[in-house]
Amino acid sequence: MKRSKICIGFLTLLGLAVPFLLTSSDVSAKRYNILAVPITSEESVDSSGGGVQNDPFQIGWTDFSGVNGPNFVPNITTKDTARFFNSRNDESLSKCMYNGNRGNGVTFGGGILTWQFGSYLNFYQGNSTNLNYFNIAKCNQTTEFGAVGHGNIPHPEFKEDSFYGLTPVTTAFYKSLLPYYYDYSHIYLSDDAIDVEGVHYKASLKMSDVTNGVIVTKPSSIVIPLGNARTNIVGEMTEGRQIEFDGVFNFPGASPSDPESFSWSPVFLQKGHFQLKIYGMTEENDSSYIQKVDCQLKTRSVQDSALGINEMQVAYTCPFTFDTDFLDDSVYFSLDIGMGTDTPQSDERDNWWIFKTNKDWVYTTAFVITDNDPTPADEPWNETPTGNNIKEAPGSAIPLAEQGGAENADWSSSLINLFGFNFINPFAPIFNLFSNQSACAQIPTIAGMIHSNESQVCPWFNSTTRNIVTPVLGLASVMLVFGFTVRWLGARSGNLFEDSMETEHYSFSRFRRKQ
Amino acid sequence: MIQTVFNVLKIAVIVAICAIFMVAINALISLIVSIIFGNVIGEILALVSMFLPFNALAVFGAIGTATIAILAFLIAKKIFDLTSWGISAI
Repeated sequence: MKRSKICIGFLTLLGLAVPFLLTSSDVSAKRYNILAVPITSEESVDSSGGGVQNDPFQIGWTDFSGVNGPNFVPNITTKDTARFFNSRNDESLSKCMYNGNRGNGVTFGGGILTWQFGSYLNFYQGNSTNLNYFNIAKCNQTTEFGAVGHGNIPHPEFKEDSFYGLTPVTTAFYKSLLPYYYDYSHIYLSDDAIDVEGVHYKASLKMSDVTNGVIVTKPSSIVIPLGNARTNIVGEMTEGRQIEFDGVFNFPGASPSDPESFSWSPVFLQKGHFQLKIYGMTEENDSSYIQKVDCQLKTRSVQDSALGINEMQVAYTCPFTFDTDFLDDSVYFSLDIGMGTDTPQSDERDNWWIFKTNKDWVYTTAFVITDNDPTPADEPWNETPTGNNIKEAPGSAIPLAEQGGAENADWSSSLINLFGFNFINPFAPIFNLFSNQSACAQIPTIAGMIHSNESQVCPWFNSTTRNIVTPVLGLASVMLVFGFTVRWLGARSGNLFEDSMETEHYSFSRFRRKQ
Repeated sequence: MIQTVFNVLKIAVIVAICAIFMVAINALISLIVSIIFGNVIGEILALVSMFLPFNALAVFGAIGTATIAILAFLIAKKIFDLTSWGISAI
């Protein structure tokens, strides 16, 4: 083969790749709007002297310190539940920044609450005797909000050990987070807060210093604190140690035997990748150091529990390697997962799983935390919904959850098992060409050099383009290498398996003929 | 017929030796790569790969695997030839 033919071959390969490059219009992963910010200690504000002194999120604040400013001392301590409601009659979101205050006047960091008209923020107080409370200092718009609840005031609507969320989804979500909270919100009412029919009350709320997020309407990412997860890891959190972090979310649903029980709202759960954030302290940095890990959603299932309640279960896995030495007892985890209740747009539905209910659509607010760009992966349902009460909501244009049995597992893994060796599979790089090529890269050293908090870089091109171009280029390159090798071996001898002495004899004969 | 059987056995032995050497060479090269590229150089290459329309690590890994397979085959063939009695029957 002449060099010109080789060049033509390379140009042909490039020509085949150009259409894939030109069609990659969506060069960036999906980005969700940040409609709220998390309530974490990192966003705490200076609450000394009462009132918020700054506006770190630059969204414009209205000083409500005079409306809901003064704290009041509650006398309710255990198993209290309350709701904040919003009286605005539009679709806007209310954001209010609150300060923390303790019973003895000592202040602590607050945060931001966000909620929408007609919806509620529910908080459940655990079995605690702390008399912590806070006051709403600033909101981004004029709004009247209040809280209703009970402590030692009996009310039929509020039951112990229950949640009353914006929707059952949120309620179930909160309940699923219970094992991971190390502190709970405390709701206290003033002595005159009794009426539940839209009368405004003064209330106090204490959010734990590191908590999850706030509530918005668009499908966005949420943060699930996994503070207790580190207890599953034994040993030192040293650099280079590999961990596989698995977790399961359980979302209880409606009970078909109880028509009064709440039902599921349509829940849109993000496909594919999530981010696990590892917070901890290092020797160089005594504040929280964050390492981000790319997680993969393994399965999603709907099943009937022993109590006859449909539950949605989501399982994920996060294999990662510690990129630094964390100080012992300083590490905790949180998981960013996309979830929403607004109907996704038609061009976004491929990135979301949709879980339907047996009742009408219920729109509510959901969580949003981060501006991370999770890259959705193409993974269908692992199981079909069970139970006879799961059917399409009337008037819905979205079809039921995907039917079909076995998960469309990565077929390269099956071939790996076929050609695999016991400990080392030398053919793994070949099969890795066909796996998902949308994984992000960790660059902790470079991030440290440029003093950046982002130690992870995700692909510029979308996963579809990379999943097509990578095996094409990889196989073409392998074939070229084999082709040139066979050509080289064939030039040495007429037969690959021929003895070298015969080769030399043949060459000598040719040389002699030329002379 | 005998020659065909002999050739098949010969090929099978070569493949077995080749597989052993492929594993060993792969492990050795992985160790060398991890030492050389297991720091900033590797991160720079990973960063560059993120801006390419393909996963460079996977592509070069496949090329490396093919190269290792060829190298292992050549080594296996050479060892077989050195340990063979006389000229091959092919």
